[in-house]
Amino acid sequence: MLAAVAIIAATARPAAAITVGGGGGARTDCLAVFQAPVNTPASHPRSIVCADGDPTCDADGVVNGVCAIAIAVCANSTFSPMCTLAGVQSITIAHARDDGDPKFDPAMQALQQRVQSEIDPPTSTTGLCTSPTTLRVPIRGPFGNGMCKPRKAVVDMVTLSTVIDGAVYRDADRLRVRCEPAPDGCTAQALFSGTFDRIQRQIFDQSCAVSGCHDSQSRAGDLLLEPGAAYTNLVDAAPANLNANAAGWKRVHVLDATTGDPDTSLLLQKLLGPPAGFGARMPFNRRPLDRALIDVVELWIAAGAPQTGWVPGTD
Amino acid sequence: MAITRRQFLKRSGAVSAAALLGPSLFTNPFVRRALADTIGDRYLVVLFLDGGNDGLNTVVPVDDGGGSLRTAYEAARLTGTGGLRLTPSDLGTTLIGADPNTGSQLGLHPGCTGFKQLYDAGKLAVIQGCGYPDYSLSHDQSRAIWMAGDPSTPGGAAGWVGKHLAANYVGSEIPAVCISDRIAGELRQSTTSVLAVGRLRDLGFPYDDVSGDDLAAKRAAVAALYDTAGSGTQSTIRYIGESGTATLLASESYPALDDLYVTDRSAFNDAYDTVNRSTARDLREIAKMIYGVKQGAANVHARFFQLANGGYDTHSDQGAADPAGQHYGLHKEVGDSLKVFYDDLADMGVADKVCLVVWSEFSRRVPQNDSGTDHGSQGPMFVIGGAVTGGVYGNHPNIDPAALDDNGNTVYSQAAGGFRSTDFRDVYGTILKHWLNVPAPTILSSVLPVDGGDPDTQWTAPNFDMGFLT
Repeated sequence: MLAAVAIIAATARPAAAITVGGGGGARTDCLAVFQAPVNTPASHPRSIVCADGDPTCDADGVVNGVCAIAIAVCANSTFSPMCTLAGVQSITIAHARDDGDPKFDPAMQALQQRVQSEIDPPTSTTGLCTSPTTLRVPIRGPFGNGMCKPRKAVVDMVTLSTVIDGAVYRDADRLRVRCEPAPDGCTAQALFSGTFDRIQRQIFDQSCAVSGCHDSQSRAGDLLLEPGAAYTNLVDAAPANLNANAAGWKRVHVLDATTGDPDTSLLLQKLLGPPAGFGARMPFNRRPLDRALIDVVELWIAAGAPQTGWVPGTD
Repeated sequence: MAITRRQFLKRSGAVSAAALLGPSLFTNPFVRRALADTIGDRYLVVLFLDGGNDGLNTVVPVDDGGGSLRTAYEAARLTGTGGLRLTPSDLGTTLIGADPNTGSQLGLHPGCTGFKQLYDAGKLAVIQGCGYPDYSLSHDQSRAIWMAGDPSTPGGAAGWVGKHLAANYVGSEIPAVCISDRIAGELRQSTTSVLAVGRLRDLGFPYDDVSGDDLAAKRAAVAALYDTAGSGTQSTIRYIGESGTATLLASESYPALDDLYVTDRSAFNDAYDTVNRSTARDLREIAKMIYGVKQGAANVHARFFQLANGGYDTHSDQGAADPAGQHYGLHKEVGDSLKVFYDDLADMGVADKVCLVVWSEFSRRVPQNDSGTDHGSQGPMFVIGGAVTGGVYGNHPNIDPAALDDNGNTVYSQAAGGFRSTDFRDVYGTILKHWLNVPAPTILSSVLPVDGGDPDTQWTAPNFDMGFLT
């Protein structure tokens, strides 16, 4: 197996960055452009559809449940003869501010930082590009039927020009990315190191530790569910909800090293829909989690909520 | 500049008199000058690393020494894709001193080459483990606390430098400049004038732009308005008049500093361009003002400066030792910019007159996430200057997994012994006492009030003699 991977890596074409305008009027499309391994549609590539582990687009080249897409931004591009504008006043990546925006995306923040630091608008320098930053798009799943699904991501960018011949021009760009599961790349054992790692990365990172909720900036309910913080904040920890606390519940109620009580663990009950007075169902104002994922949490709690290793039935 | 006992009495008397007689006393220029002499011929620069700099990958344990810092570091910072671990080899050319507590050899992030040069020159104090009790993980809240120098009343309060300015300057003066489009929190106050400008050459008074033919008449009218207001008896109107006059004069004086500097100091002007980053360009604006003051430029008296560099909120794609990494780039930008700035000041002959303090609102979580770090607690500060006694101050935070709090962050402690934290107010207080010549009792009563409560977990025993300034 290892030999096979090595052969693929050695013969595959590395991710190639192609300049794409990102949309908008032809005369203004060069104000800011993306450089990314776009590959679709084949006749005129402007979006990315990437299979996890495909080295032509996934920069880590490994089947790990995440497509690592290298994206750079360039200002005042000369890629199109139809656009000769040069003068960028500002480039704004959507959802890049860690200020409670529910759609805040750290990858967009990283891209914006590159823009501010390396392009440093305003500038009229032509072909000025950032270093590539890595947009990490995880696949969705595995779900109860043993299937994984693609996940889409979108990079939106709005660029305003400096005053050029008495006018300010606007260039709105969009880059679409879709990360697809690798063939035979949808087993929990392959994607995660253990049951809690799966809960952290498949549930908390994607549905809970997001801006406005249980991330550092917001810390809703005095509960932080980011990596490195979630476990100790949950296991045998008293809930902030007064009724749950008064009833003797824990966020994750562990009885001993191999036993827990799912019925008095607020984490699980919140995912299922808690009793009256115990707060709202989570994820708040979102669709409920896939039932198979909730089952993973229940099995994990019942097995004493180990921090490492696999609980039977969760892999 | 040392303060004599006579000067101390004079200053104390003035402050007391001001309390009795009200603010009008400050319009007496002789009293005002005596107060303003606290900084003398010195300058203070505050550099804010906006977003929460990852302290653990800025001042890094290279070995365990007599403890286990390196072992704990390697448990938290990983290798492989997205890994943030800096190896001893990565840190080989940026070694500094040892952690005073554990004896662990320390190294700066490999991007910190400029910082390393300043350290080797003995002009960089690395102050470890700076924070405050009951830390906030919110950018907004923690930033406000650091800017105010007061965890108890951060919102809307005056900044720690601002409180000093308010006690020593009046509306007709501009003692401070922010390289920004807004007044930074550190300088916020309501007594004197602070200039906020991105580039000096762009500063101008906001006359209407209907016609430039009658600028002289407009200027005369505005000046007369401010003059009338400034001589009034109602304090708010008088402040508007005084600060308006100061702004008008600044708008006519500061832009010329650009030409003066570019002409006289072209080699250094080019050196900042070589770094080619916003921090270098921002520091160059400060160098222009310091040079202007030194050359006696009219109506230029600024001695306090603030600038910021953003991008430290590295939740994603932080990077380790790769020069293309985000964190590497940030450290390279700031370190190289500071080195050029220091060399510029040294060439001007004022390096020992400038003290620059670097801070960030928090560090990052000890365990990393997939490719970055989330919000944390205590982190390092830097103090740079010709008069600074370089070295490592304060203890590295205890990053042992068993010592972290429920959020995975290091714990603030003032308990005597190994891992005692550095309260950031001790750093501020040392600067106020030893650079601005503010007596410790005045610092405590006017700028940095102590916490109450448990002396092991709260800041109840200030230390304004940390040693990096004497």
